[in-house]
Amino acid sequence: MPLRLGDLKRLLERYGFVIEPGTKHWKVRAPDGRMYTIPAHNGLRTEMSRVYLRGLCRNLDIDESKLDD
Amino acid sequence: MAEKILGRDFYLCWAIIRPAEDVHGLWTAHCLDFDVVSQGESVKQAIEMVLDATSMVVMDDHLRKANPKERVAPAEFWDDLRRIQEEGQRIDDLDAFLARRAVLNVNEAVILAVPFAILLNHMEPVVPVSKATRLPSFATDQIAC
Repeated sequence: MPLRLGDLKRLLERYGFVIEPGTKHWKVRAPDGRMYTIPAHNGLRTEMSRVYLRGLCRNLDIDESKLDD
Repeated sequence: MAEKILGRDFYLCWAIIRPAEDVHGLWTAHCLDFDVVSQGESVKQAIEMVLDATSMVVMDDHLRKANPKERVAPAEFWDDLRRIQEEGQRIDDLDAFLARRAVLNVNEAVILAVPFAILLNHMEPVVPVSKATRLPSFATDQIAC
């Protein structure tokens, strides 16, 4: 089942990433400063597609299986 | 490095827009040059979102003195782009194409390859050039990427 923004935020914070809320996109920042965007066009209810989540994992060196927790 | 056109620094980029397989009614948009993925509830919104996301990532990298080009998408995605360019229908006016196909939905399985440009403005580090979507784009429903 696709993750919603609110669930993704909680997961990423658990793994040490910092979330910076915005409007159309939020930011997620890794401890080394690297930033990636999170779509937020429907606020906390925004559903994340698998294609997006794979891109997020590639960019921030996250094991994809961690997002299935 | 950014390219120089008419004395201005640009990044020229390609995005692939396709229906999300796992969220009904959602379109994903993937900028291959910087491996930035976003999404929207229409093709138009997905394109606007990936322009916004790519601009944010490029601007942030520049501010951190990092090279955004190091984010490039893996080779398999560039293979998809080449197939779309070779086998797809060329679209000279993307807005008109989208207006004609206002009912575009996931069942049509159309895949779009859309070029755009990011202007490096050294006063405001990055400004997206949304008009660049008027460059020829490509669409196909003939191939499975």
